[in-house]
Amino acid sequence: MGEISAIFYVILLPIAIGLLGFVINRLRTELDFVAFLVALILSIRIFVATRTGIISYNLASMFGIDFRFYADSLAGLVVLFNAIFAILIWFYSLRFMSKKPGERTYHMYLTITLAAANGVVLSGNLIFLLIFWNVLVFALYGMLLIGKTDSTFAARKALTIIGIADYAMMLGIVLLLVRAGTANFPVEPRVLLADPWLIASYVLIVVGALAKAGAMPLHSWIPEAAKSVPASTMAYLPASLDKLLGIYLLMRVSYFIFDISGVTSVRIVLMVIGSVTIIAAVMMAMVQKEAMRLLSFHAVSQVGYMILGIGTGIPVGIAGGMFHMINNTIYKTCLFLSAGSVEYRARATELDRLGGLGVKMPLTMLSFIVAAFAISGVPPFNGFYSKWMVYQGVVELGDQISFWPVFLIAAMFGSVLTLASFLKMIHSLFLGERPRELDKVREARFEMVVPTLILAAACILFGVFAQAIPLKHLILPALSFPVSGIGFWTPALATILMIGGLLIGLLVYLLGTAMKPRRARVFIGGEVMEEEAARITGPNFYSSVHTVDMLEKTYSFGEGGAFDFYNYLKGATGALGVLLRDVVDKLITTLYRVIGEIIQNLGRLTSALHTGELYGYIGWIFLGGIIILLMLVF
Amino acid sequence: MTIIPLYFAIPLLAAFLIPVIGKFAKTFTWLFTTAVSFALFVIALYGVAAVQEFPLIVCKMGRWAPPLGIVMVLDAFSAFMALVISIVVFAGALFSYRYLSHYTGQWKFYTLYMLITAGMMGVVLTGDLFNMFVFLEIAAISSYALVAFGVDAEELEASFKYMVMGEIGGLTFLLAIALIYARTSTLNLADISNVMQMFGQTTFFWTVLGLMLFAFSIKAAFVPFHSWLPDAHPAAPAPVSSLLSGIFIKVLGIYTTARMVFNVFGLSRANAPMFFNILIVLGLLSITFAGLTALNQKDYKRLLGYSSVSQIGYIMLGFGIGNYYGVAGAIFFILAHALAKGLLFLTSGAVVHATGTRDLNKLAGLGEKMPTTAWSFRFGGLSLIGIPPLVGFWAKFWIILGALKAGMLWLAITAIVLSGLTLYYYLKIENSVFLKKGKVDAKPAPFTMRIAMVFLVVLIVVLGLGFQQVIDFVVGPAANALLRGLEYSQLVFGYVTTGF
Repeated sequence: MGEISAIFYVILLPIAIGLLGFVINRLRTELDFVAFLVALILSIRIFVATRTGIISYNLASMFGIDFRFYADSLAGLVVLFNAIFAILIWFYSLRFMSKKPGERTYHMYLTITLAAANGVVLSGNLIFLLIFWNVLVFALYGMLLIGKTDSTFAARKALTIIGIADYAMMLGIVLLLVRAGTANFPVEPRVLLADPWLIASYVLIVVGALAKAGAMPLHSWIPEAAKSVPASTMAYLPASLDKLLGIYLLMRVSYFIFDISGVTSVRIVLMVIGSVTIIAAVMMAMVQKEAMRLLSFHAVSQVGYMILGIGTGIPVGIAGGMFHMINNTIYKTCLFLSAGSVEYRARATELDRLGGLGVKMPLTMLSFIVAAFAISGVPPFNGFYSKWMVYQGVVELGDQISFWPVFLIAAMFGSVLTLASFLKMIHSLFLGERPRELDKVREARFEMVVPTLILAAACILFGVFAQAIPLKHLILPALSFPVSGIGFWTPALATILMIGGLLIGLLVYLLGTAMKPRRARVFIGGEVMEEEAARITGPNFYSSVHTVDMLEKTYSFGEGGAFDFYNYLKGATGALGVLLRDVVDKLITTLYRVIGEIIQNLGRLTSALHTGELYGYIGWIFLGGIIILLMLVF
Repeated sequence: MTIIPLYFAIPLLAAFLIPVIGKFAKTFTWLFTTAVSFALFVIALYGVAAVQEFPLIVCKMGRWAPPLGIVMVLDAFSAFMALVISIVVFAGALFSYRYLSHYTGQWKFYTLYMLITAGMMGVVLTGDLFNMFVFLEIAAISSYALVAFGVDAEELEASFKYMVMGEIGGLTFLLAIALIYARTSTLNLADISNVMQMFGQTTFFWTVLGLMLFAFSIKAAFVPFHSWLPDAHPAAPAPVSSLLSGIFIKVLGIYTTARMVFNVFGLSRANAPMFFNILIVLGLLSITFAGLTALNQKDYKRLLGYSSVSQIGYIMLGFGIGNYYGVAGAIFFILAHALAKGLLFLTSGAVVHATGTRDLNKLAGLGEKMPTTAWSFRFGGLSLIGIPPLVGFWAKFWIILGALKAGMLWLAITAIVLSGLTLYYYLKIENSVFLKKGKVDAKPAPFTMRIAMVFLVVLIVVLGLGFQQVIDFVVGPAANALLRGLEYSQLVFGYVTTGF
């Protein structure tokens, strides 16, 4: 019973205390601390319990639907990481969001989101899951509304895309319920994709999951949001919790409800989505000129690896996808938070207004560089290991699909481009010459440095001891099948030393030269040029990519919103909207007004009957009494 | 020893101690009242736990066996009502500390407050008809005094009207008791039940029941017997308004009706469809008529008063449907409405305390200045409308489920559509008091007031989320206690003869 109440409280407590903290503003920090800490402890407890067994509890059965909780080791894993990220980001936000508009609501949404996310992960029925999923959608909307600039557009965009994906998911669940007769999971034996309806059901549910995780072409709300919401919101939702949940749901439907191993085409579609997401998003990232937007495209790109890994259907690939999910949330959160620290101090996110901050913010730079190497897949950081497993899964696919090298090349190429774009970002933020107005910048606050350093340390830990810690204790127990063949990359001491040496060399070089740029007088025909104009900023590193003929068109497409699902939708609904507005809308408005007036007038009539005279009232009473007596007696 | 006498003995004793205490230490009267209310809450919780094991617990007062002696009967329905009473009383007591600061003679207030509590507790626990009348009058007379507590012209007029109409009800009840005693020579509820069955459904049977329904309808304020309520409830101090609307009308009107109809007269939809249809009509009439009237109110508390009349209609609707879901829904609704309306009247108190006015046209912009009050109001209002997962949703849901199971689709649809009225007048207050921009001076509500409101908000949320437990342990047993019908008398006598 203890675990079951842990499940209840891990959902209810954050929500309750969050609301309480919202109401009692003065005690908010203390209350939130309690909420997040207790949630973490309970999550650890659930995690430990799910190592050895499965917790299942039927809350109620209504209308043939079991509202049940179900926690296996996969759920335990995700719940644990939910709680860890929540508490880290909350700690970061204490200072980061302090005195900003919407601070109070922001903290409430932090707790509500955690509670709903736990609800999603712990529910054992898709319909039950959907309830929490919807709470998340609205919490996301509310959280995105709290912007540093006007973020209504971004929030509305996110709500539209995720709302529609949500609707698709709802449809998929209903189809599943009708065709397979149950929405509980796990289903034994798993549902085969035997007829078109079931395939439709699977696809629709996956659409819901992918929109949440942010895969192309449902990604466009993430870069949009990045422009206008605080970095901590980006770190909390698109970077960590939404990834965890999206990929969790993808895992659930793909390996616990449906059996997709028999249908190669579905898996190929998944892998194609994954590969396209990796490449297209990272290409977009390369040409971005604003830190948050750049990071957000990477957040999209990395999802591709997870989908690719899970899509392979090969145990190593799936494990790699899962591992990448955990790794990605760690380093991506770290990146967003570090960039947020820079923004907090430098008050700018445009890359060409930044630079040379490495001397001023060494700890932030350290965490940022570690996370940047991790996301680029540089060994021995964690990103390398999980990407390696995904590659391996793709390679092993060789005996099933002949064109597997395409996926492999896409994945590896994506990695290279990621590294390239992060070199640009590291240069733009921390190296190079410092604009004069940034001379007074200091290291970020204690509350902001600690979470980023913890996450950076986790990047190293999960990379160097990948086998001993995360794989052995976190990832592999969460999978329902044995995973073989991951043994051949052993990050032995030699590798560490080698890479370590390289890194140190690089750091010495960078610290020695790049951070102290050599100044030379610029001489152009006797005219003295402004120093600022001669500063070499990062954003133009790859501007030549922009001008390659074919790519140029693609980019102008991309920037113009051609990859944007939202724009298509807007166009299609626009035409319908005109029709509806002119015909239906007016009718309804008139109807609404007429009914409203009728009700108002009725209300006035009944009000007029209350004269306030005692005799009249007594008359009513006796009239009523007489009618009752007459009806009863005769 | 059973705990049953404590339910009304404690507040009664407290009521007589408070004047003595008030002589020496003024603030202590509040502390004492709150402590007593909390003790009652604990006892009521214990009572709910106790009836999980036994269907019925009987306490013979002075060891006189029924039908000669007076018995106190605690079954699941009584335990439920006592629990709801204690919750509302506790919240009101907490709230009144700062609210009463602009009244004089506070110990009088607390004395009356404890008396009204004792009266209500007595009504829900007694197993004796005349005893019920006595407790009912204790509660009623205290309430007349409390309505007039401000002694302004408006309050005195409201109290006078309320007293005249209330006593028409009270005396009609006495007339019914007299008729029953004349024919059956007994006043014990269980015994009356036995004797009445021998008569069958004769004219006498229906006359007595009709008189009682008439009397209780006045107490419960169904349309057209409601006209005193929109005057009286707003006139009272806010914690008392909260108590009166939250639970008082339900104890004096609804509990008594339900107990008489189901357990004493042994009616059910099967053997008296006509009677149950009358209940449904009364319910629908109240919902629509009062709901419509509420739309045009300009006084915060008066609007809430009409809202109470309207919501009471839902409860009667549930009882009128008469199957398990309907009755359980009605009982659940008693709880939900007590919490929500109790809370809403407390928020009105906080607003009046801060601004000195209840005029919706003059109030504005309090949402930012009084955040706790505004959010409490929102939770209470949303629960009242029936927004999941708050407790009000489940209550309304159960009633609608009952209508569907009874094959009354039209009623289910009507009930849902009429919720629109609730939404309408809820938004009216929300817009004009909390959302509209304006310059009204106000400070946030004092700490004790906020605690009282948050207490009810927490209950609204928690009980809504844990609705399954509420149904399983509290509401379900209470509904079964009513639907046992005439078994009630056998149980009362059965336990007596076995000497429990």
